[in-house]
Amino acid sequence: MRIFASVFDCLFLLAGSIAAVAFGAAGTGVGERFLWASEVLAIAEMCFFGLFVVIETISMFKISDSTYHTVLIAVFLLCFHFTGYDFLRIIFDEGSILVRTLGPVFHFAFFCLTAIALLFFWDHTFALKIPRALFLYAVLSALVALALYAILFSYGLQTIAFALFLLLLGVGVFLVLRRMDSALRCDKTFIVSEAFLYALAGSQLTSEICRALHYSESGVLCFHAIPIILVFLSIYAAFAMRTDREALKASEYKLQYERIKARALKEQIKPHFIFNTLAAIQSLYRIGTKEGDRAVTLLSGHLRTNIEAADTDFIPFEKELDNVQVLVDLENMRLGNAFNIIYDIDYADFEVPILSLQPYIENAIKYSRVNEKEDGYILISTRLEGDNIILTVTDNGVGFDPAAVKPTSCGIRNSSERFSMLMGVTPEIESAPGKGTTVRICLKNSTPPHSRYIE
Amino acid sequence: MKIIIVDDEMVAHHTFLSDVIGKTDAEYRFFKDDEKEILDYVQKNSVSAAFLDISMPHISGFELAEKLIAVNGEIKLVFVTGLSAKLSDLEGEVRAHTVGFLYKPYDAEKLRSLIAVIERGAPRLTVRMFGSFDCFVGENPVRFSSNKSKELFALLLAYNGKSLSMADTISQLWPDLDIDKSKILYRDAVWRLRKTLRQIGIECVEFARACLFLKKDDIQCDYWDYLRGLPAEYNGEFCKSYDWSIEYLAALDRIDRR
Repeated sequence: MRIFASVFDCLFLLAGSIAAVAFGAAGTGVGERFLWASEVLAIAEMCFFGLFVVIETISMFKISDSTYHTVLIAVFLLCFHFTGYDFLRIIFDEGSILVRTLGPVFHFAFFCLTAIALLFFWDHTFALKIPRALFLYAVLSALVALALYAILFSYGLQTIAFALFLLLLGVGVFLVLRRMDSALRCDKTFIVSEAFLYALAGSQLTSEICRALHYSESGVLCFHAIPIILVFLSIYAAFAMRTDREALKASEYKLQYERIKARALKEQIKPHFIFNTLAAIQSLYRIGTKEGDRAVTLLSGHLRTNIEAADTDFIPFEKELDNVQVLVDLENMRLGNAFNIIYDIDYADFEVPILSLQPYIENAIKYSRVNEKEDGYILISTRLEGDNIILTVTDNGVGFDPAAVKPTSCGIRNSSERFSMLMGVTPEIESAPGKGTTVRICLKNSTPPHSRYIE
Repeated sequence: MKIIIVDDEMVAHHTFLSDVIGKTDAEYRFFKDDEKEILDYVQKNSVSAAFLDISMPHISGFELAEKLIAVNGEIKLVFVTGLSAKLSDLEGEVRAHTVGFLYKPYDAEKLRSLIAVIERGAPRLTVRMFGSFDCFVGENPVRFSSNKSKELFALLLAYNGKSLSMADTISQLWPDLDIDKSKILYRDAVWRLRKTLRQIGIECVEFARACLFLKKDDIQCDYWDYLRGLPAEYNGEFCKSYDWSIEYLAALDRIDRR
């Protein structure tokens, strides 16, 4: 698919350049003496185009989703920006008042929309902290452009439009130069947007110069036609690439998820915990076989869950709570001071990623010290609020200062990652010294949105 | 009642099973995975149940189960496994004959309850309300995971088939607590009661929103018997240590006088 797209791009480009030169030669009405100039310009422009289209095609391979959308919007707007004026010129007489008044407005409006789209794309994709020098550069380039245009032509509104166009071009070039290294390595989309800007600016400039020199109308129109063809081709290529990328993304997604889950399982079976529990069981058998048997049943239940987890993604919430209870029973057996778990369960008819609740309980057991407090508790609660299930794990233990503590445990990070991958939600942890800890997870009461990625 | 246990492991490993089953009325015999010997034995003896290991080198537990059913249409099956298995893994005849699963390492309580089910069919709950409140499945006392969930169940039984609302429960079990706290504790007790009943396999309570209903079919309760005039030992004590029992005591004493 990609190869086809590239080949088509190149073929159309070639055809476009030939057509441009041929039309330019054929349309020699008034300014025959300037023919050579326009041909040189056209060829230069085509080379320019060719280079950037190739880069752009390559860059489409590695586009990120949000960039893809904004670039596409920008491309469409640019397209209208060109066609709008030409349509007016084709439908009405070149010299009519409508074209004279509406044409520049068209240009200007679509140009502004394009600029906004591209700025939005920069802002969202790269979240740039714009340095002061950039403003200086932009303002300077705008002033120079404005002066140049005011001297060369007096087109009124259109002059301002093109000045702004050049301003944007300036910002773009500056950004590219500043971030060329990282841009080339991480996201070639930058080059795509630049390619469009360069190419269109080039074509506009050429056609404007032609018009200024009273070069034939057909030649001018032909210059407009080429970027439009290219723009459409790019869109086509982007669509083709996008379908490929979706498949790639799904498989990558799955791979990443499997990695995270494997890590979760590895972390869950903690040698330290298992051996300590076995030691506790040894002692319990000295007290009585009944106590020992119970402990063995608990430990084997815990291990069985962890082993089963390898083949499971989701588990009914109720079963996850059973797993939690086994864990708490084991800890209570080991530590002597019992943890008081309160199940404030209002709604239990939903699923959660397997072993996703345990890390929060483990953390509470490890750090909250609620078992040393007389009225200490760990409260697991679910509430149905409209379409959302609010799942919270609260303890009234010692708490901690989230800012001072290093990133939370591996188990919690892992659970959080799986919650966000499988269900599109992120658990929020709230805590303060002496105030206890609350983990809040807000789930949508429906099929997990990303489950389609996981077979 | 005769039980056979089929496992390819060394018989010496079965001390635990011998210990637990030996204390019941069941007669038991161990077999290696020798198909011919097993089928021969089942043909000649009336075997109530077979405990089958699922993965054995010569024949799988599932295959053996089918052959056993062909020989003895009444046989009940328990699958024993080190990993995990569910009823949904089974099909047709085998599924219909299966009473449960036993995981290794063995859970003595689970084993006892399985034998009780094989012997007596569906488990029944025996409730003692006179004196202190306690529940039994066969001989085994039911272990509730919290005192309040036990008390909740006692109250539900005392209601004798009437539905028990959350408001009623809270006013009886947590009369002094503020409403938000008591609601949380109510839901905790309900959740735990549900877990306990599910564990012992007697799901006699219907859990509706803020309301509980009792299905009385599988329960034998001394208090209910006494109310119906059946023989039951009333010793002047009812659900000892539960505050709300006083009004029931008064009512019981009135019956007593009559």
